[in-house]
Order: sequence, then structure tokens, then C-alpha cells
Amino acid sequence: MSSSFQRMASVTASTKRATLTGGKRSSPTSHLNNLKIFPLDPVDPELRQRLALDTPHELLQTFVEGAPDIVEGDVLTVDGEDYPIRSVGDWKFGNDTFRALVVEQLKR
Amino acid sequence: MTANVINRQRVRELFAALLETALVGSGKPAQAVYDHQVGDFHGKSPAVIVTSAGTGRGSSLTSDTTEFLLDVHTFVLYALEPWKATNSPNAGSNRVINIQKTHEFEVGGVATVEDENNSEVATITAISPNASITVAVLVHSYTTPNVHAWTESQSEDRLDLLEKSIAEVIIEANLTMGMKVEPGGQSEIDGLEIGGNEYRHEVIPVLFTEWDF
Repeated sequence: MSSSFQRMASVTASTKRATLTGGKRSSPTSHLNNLKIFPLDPVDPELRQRLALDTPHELLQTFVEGAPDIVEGDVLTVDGEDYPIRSVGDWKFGNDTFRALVVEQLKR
Repeated sequence: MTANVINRQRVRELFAALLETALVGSGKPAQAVYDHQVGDFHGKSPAVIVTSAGTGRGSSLTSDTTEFLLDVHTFVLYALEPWKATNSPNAGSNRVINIQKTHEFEVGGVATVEDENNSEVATITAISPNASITVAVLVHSYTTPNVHAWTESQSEDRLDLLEKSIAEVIIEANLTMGMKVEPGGQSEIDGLEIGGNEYRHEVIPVLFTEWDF
């Protein structure tokens, strides 16, 4: 991993994941810890609403080094705040790989 | 005389309590029931949310009935993407199926195994994290099958079971709530994405009629 990426990945985060049991899924529990990520930045200045629930939220994005086991529907936790992960994209620059995460900051 | 009419909140909370008793618990179809609109149900599935949807107050001069309309929303996780096995398990007992991710599976749960020729539901007896699952029996042999933790069919079945269960609660509520309770119209179904999860979503309107004063 490039030293410039490591300098930018200054925030420590963790993830949670929910599992399916008998066709039911409960609240997510701790999955990955001590991830180094970029600070969370807005995707754009737009405030969105969740379908059906109307929950206002802002979309934020970050990058995490490598290819950790993160999937859509996981929850990213930063400074005690939970951010549902809406999308996970694999990016590759030269020999470096990292994951781009788009998360929801719920406003309610 | 001070007027004192029925608060819709009482009707909503009473009905949600009946739904929770009927739907949540071991062997029952839902994971959670909420008696109010929530902004986030934390990826749970199935989730049921009861919301206020309107009131029709009768005459304010004579004794009359009031109609309360509630919406019961059901959210059921849609199919999870299958994992492609990297081996080709043969029919038999204690078959190991190699898959890249195992987090959606659990020991004692089931996996749907399918390829172009066959499909079956198998009981999981062991998991090697992010390497393989072992199933008790495979009736058929498979060539690098797809392995599903939760299928489109299971999602649809659960949506239907919830609708049936809620319809039964509506019937029984006529006895327990002391008011007329009936479907408030035809339900509607759509699909939506919440927090990176895709859900089937049904809105079931329920009409409550009660003498108010």
C-alpha cells in the first residue's frame, strides 16, 4: 500500500454484519475491527430520503485499504456512530487495491 | 362538558401489540414489529411497521362513529446473491461445498443448492468460515452449483405468510379490541432498497370503526 494512501487513511473504523437465521435476520453484530479508512466525505450536497421510510439521509464516501470482507448491507462504525453501507466498489490503482464505500448518514 | 374523543394512538398501539404477539417469536414469521414509523430498522427482516394513515371523524353534533385507518408495512429481505461453488459435490451424505463466503449461512440452517439440472434444499451441518459448508445429504450430484442462503422463492413465501398472518390478526382483533376491524382496501407490493439491503415491501391498510361519543 502506498505511503500516501496510508497517510490519508487516518480514521479507525469497524464493521457490523447481520446474519440470517431461519429466514429471520436480527440486528448486526461486530464483524471487522481496526480498519483504516479515509475520513468520511459527502458524495454530494444532496439530502435524500429512504424509500417507504422517508428517512432523510446524506450519502458519504470513504476508502479502505486492501479488500476486507465488507458487503452491501453491512454497517460501518466510526466514533461510535453507525453508517449503513449502501455500496462497495473495488478500485485498483497500479499495484494497489482498495475498496470505495458509500454509506448513509441518517438524519433522524 | 369537555370533549374527549378517541386518540388514534391507542388504536395503533393496541393493534401493533396484537401483531407482535402473533408474529414475533420462535417459529413465527417476523423478526420485529414497530408500533410507529421508524427511520431505520437496522437491517432486520422481516420487519413489520404499523403507522397512522388517516382518520374519518363523524358528526360532532350527534353520537357517531370514527374511522381510523392504519397502514401495516411488511419488509422482507429479497433474495441474497448466490455463491458459486468451486467444487462439484456428488450425491451422498456429509457433502462439502466450497464457497468463498459463508457469513450468510448457519449450522442447522438450510442452503438451496442448484445447477442447470437439479435443485434441492439441504441442511447445513458444519461451516468452515469463508471456505466451505457441509450439508447432511445431497440427493443429486452437482457441477459447481450456485448456493443460496435466501432465495427469491423463500422471500415471496414469507411475504405471503405475513399477509395471511396479519389477515388472521385482523379477524381476531374484532373480538379483542372491542371495535370493528376490517381490511381497509387492497394491499400493494413493491420492492425497495434500504441501507444496502433489497426488500419486498407490502402495505396492508386496516380500517377500525368505533363509536366515539
